[in-house]
Amino acid sequence: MTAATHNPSVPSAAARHASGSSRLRRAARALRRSPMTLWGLVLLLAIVIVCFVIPVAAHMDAYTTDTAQMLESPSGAHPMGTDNLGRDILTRVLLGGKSSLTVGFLTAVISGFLGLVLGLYAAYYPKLGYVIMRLCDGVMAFPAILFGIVFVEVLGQSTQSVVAALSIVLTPYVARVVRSSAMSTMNENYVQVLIGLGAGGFRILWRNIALNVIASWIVEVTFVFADAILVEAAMSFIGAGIPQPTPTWGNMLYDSRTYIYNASWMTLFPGLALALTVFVINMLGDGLRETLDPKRRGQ
Amino acid sequence: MKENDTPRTTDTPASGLPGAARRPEPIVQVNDLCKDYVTRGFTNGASSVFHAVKNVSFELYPRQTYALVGESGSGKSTTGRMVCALERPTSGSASFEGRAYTDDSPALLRKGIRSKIQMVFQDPFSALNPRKTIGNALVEAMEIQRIGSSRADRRDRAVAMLERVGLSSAHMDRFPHQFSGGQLQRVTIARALAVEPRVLILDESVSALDVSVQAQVLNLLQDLKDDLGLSYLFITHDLSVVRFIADRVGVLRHGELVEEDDVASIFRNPRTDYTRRLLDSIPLPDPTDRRLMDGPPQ
Amino acid sequence: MTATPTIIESVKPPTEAPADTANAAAHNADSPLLEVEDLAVSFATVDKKWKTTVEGVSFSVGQGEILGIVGESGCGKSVTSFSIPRLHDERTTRYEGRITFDGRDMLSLDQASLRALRGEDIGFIFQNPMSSLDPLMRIGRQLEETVRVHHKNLAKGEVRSRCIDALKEAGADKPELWMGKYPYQMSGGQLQRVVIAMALVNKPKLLIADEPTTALDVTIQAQLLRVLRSLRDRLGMSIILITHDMGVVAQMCDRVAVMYLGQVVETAPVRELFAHPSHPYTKGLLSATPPLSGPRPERLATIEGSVPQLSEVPDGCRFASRCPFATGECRTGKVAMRQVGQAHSIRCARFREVHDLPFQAAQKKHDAAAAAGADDSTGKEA
Repeated sequence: MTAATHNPSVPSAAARHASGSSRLRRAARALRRSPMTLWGLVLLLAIVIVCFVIPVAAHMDAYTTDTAQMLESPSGAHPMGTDNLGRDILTRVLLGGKSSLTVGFLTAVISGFLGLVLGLYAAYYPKLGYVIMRLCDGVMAFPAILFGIVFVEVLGQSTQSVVAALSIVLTPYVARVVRSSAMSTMNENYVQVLIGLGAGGFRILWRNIALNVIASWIVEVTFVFADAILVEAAMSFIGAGIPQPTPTWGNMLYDSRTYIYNASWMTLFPGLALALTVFVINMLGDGLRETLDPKRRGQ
Repeated sequence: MKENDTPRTTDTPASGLPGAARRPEPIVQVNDLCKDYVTRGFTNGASSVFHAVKNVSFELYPRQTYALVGESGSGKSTTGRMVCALERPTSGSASFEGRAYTDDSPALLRKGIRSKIQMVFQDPFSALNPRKTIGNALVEAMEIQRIGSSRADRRDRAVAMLERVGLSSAHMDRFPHQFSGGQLQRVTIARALAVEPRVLILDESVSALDVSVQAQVLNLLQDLKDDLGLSYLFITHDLSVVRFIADRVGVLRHGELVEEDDVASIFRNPRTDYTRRLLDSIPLPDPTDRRLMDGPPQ
Repeated sequence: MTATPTIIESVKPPTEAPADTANAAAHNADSPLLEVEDLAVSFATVDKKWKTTVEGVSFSVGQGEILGIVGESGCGKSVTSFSIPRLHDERTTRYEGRITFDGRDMLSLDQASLRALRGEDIGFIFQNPMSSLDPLMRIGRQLEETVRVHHKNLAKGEVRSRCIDALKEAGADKPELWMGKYPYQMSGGQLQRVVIAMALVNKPKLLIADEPTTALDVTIQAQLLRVLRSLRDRLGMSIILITHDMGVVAQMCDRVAVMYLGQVVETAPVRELFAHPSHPYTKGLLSATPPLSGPRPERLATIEGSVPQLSEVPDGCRFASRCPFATGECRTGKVAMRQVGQAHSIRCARFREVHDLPFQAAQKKHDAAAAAGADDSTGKEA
């Protein structure tokens, strides 16, 4: 028990502050107890810094072709070798990471937001929910890549249209998770209590149910992040992603496929980068799933 | 004679014979309340109607406790939810101080009945948001009903309310999972009272509690009723609790009110076979009187 | 007025029940069917320590006797009853003490003999009937399976007739019809009858019923209690009845063990227990129950606070923190069971002074004292 607790006239600001700092402490304790979340977070941060900062800081150049240095194997000057046009693969992997992470992040934010809104309202208004869920089923019936290709074909090839396509394809997954989580929350009596107090739909949804949905939502959003990176790579691989010459892991893999036997590094390094990033994000998601589970809290 | 089941308080107007001139107006009046549920067949779409509550009428008088008793499926909770305006009746109405409210719009309910009638549920764990502190839950209730001038004021009121139900300001910033069931039920009572209602609907509110804790909460409810001038609609299956807390009792069976009387009369002189059977089924805590074992096992 | 109350105290002459109990028990008076001595049950925690949840539990059940184990949630009554046929996961459970059932040392039996024993010599009835029934299997098949597990060579017709007999015994009105039904087609009361039939189909010597009627309506509860009672009266089965309801104990049991926080705190024959409750906890439980007869009280006597978590078991007497009689001596050392009457013992350091004092009087004194100091009874520490 803290010293302040016995004084009822303690200003509320102090109490709020106390609960705020204890929230931080709780989060720190939870992180210490879940190495998966901690490592996921640290590694993802490391990947982001490496991909976004190093190329700029080191004035790396991913575009100049150099026919004198084509398909060189890894060496001191080119740690990951060069590609068929003599471009430094390390630079291209880092910049490819920048595009991949950007696409993944934007998609996660957009479909995370849309999914949360759609899922919550679908749970709260059953008739609207029926319509929303059938639409989601419709979108989910298409393979993500197919949908992406069609979309990019219509909107024109650009980062924006890739993000837009991926967001539309992945939103239903978030919406489903949010809806089912919200529906089980709505069965709790405190929702009845709120109705009995005269609370409106907005308060019930956003200031009560949302609090209980947020954990599974965050987890789902991290998975969408990873999925978006994978699907973007797949789209780039078949030429429907971010247009050349901007490097992405997908189009690097595409370029490498004819040289896979005599210049395996061209395939190896972007492939490894892609696998590592997706793995780290999934690890973070799994860790969060455990950390945020209310049954494991407060022990 | 010196009868045993004398009503506890002297100012309980509805006890004794009705019709006396000083009898006050009921605070809640329930008229012919009905609730039907329609179930659709799986294959042919044919629907069948289930009558959960049939023509239930009763009056709750100020500062009184009316107990609705019945077994599972008797419609007692549905009745409670309709009186609390959580569910709309199929027909019939309930009125508060003479004004029917069961068909009001949500906005009208919010301005009217929501602050007057509050409900306390059986399971306190489910009745509180697990991710909200106790303090925030109480403050939120006052926010919705626009009680209190500022957040600080509401927090002060919340502390006062917690102290009123036997908790303290130390509990304000804790989460529900840090409490025992009995303490949490005190919290839900405090939250219901935070909006200054006149009537509490207690739906099996002490049934899930251990005997020793149940006694504490029952005592608390008695005190609150006297101090704040509340009226209770007490929904339960437990007749020993009814005998302790109720002034008047209505017995529900299959959605119908089969008997209604003052608590003393119900226990001394049940007029229907069903009530008698209910009373005879209670296991008496007296090993020298094992009448429960006399009946047939069918 | 001489009202004839339905509930109120009409004094009946002692009924036949205790007499036939005595008869049934007389044959084997010196060798009880089940004897539990100083049982302690520990469970492994996540960080690989042992946490003792139940300790110092001793009781015995005679041939054809109904023993009631009573207490509030978290007092260890279910843990204790599960320990008799060793139903806890053996990898994470440690038993100490001694359990003798029908001459066998239960704690040293191998798994095969235990399996043979469960369902054959010891039957189990749980609170929620659906947890013991397969929702996708007809009642008949589930019952027949219970028989076949233990009697592999029985003829088909014989198995079926045993099941029908068991259902009849459990009070089924149309046992043949019930055999063909699925669980979802039946009511809660009917399902609990099926579970009872399942427990007794192999004619066990001991029936362990864990809150068998708690989830049921009071009228159904009365019927099922009569069924259980008749099993003892007509078939001579021994029953351990676990409940939190003092009324059920009074109506059903021959002897009672009251448990609090993992310990038996009082054992006595049922009439003795209700006539002279001696442990402060028992006194408190009885006076906290709203009475069904006599004058209606203004307020109920209460045991203050709530049952502590098993992880915060106090030193000394486990009830001391809530006990109106407690003094300094109660808060240190272990308290043993002491005899206070014929077959009547309590676990209380102040057993001499306490056992005649009424609970309420002590409570008033205690309240007055407590009102001066700060109230620390509420609030489980976060």
